[in-house]
Amino acid sequence: MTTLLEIVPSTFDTIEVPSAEASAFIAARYARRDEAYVRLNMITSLNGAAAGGDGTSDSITSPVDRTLLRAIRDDADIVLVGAQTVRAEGYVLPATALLAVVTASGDLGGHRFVPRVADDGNGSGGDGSGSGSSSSASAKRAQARVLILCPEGSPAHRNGVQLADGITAEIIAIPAGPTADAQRGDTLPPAAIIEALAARGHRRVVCEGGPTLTAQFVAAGVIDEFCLTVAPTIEVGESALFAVSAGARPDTEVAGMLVDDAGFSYLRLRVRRAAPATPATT
Amino acid sequence: MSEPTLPPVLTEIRDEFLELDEPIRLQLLLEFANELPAVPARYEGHPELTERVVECQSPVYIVIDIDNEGLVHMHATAPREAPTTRGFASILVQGISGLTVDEVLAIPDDFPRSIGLTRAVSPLRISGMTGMLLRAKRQVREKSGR
Repeated sequence: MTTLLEIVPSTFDTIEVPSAEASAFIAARYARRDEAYVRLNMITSLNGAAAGGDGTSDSITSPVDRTLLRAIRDDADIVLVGAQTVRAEGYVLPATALLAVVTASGDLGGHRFVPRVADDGNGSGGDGSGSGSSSSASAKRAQARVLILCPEGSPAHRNGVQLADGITAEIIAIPAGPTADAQRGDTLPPAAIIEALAARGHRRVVCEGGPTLTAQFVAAGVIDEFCLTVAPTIEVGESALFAVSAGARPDTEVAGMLVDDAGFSYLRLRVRRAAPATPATT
Repeated sequence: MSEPTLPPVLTEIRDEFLELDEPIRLQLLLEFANELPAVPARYEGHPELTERVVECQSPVYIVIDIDNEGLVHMHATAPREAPTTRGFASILVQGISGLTVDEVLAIPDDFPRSIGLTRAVSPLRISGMTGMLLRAKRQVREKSGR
């Protein structure tokens, strides 16, 4: 058992993880009501490594982090991730959200996608986010598909992507921007990725990295909220969690902070936007 | 004994919570924590005159007064380090004070569970809140001779 303590807002409330109460406690904090958002969810060691010695985040994660990952995914329509991360982490399909992979090569070797059994009960999400989109839980289960976001003319676009039996790869070719390279998925303009997803009714997006895709998203200023788990370890590696270039620094405020008795902290940083023309009602 | 009925002030507070998104409800609870009035001077430094709410993990004390007109007044102390509990104490103090004995006794016992915090606040805290309400009602019953 791990004890989780809330620091921001300063309720100093505590809860034991894992437990059904803790899942609800975390989901209540990570629920968003807005119909469209882009969230980043990543874990980092103290020296900025996104993975432990085994090359995956499994070795630096925690029970709380896994509960939180689940809550964030359940709130979203789309889990967006770069192909390199799918390969390195051996990605499995999210429980309710659709997985969308950014790739030019179409190489997802190492993935652990398993088609879902179509009749494993009703979707328990029931958050009413259906609203005409094609992304209801039942539709996702029945189709077991993965979205492949790739540059027009890329190998993935030309040749398609083969996944396991029972899983369809839906190719979404995105017009290459001025700086895009058809051989590299990580040069796709983030705004074009978000737009392509929104056009298909997927407007609640959580990006799970990796560092290159994340850096692109940060540079484009499309992220609304950073959910970052800080693991109390120092890992091998030279790369920062994600690079931020001058002029692209997001202006953030701490919307939430939880800590646990294993020394992890769980931060929610909300991006401050320029004030809209009409003031908020609250 | 009358049917359980939530008095207007508590109804208003409950609706205010339920209108908000869950993360914002916590903020509102913390605002209530900041508004807990100080206890009257006669109770200050006299824990023996008040009742400890043992269901709360932190030291929370309550006392009920009934004035000459039969109206109930509740006072409470709760440490600033326990803001969720303090916030609920503040809700009760504001929601109960000025009510008649019958009105207080008619407050549903599950009121703490009805304000939309059962997911956002840990079960231990909810139990503390319920303990606070039940002890307040018991004091009202005893002090009014019902």
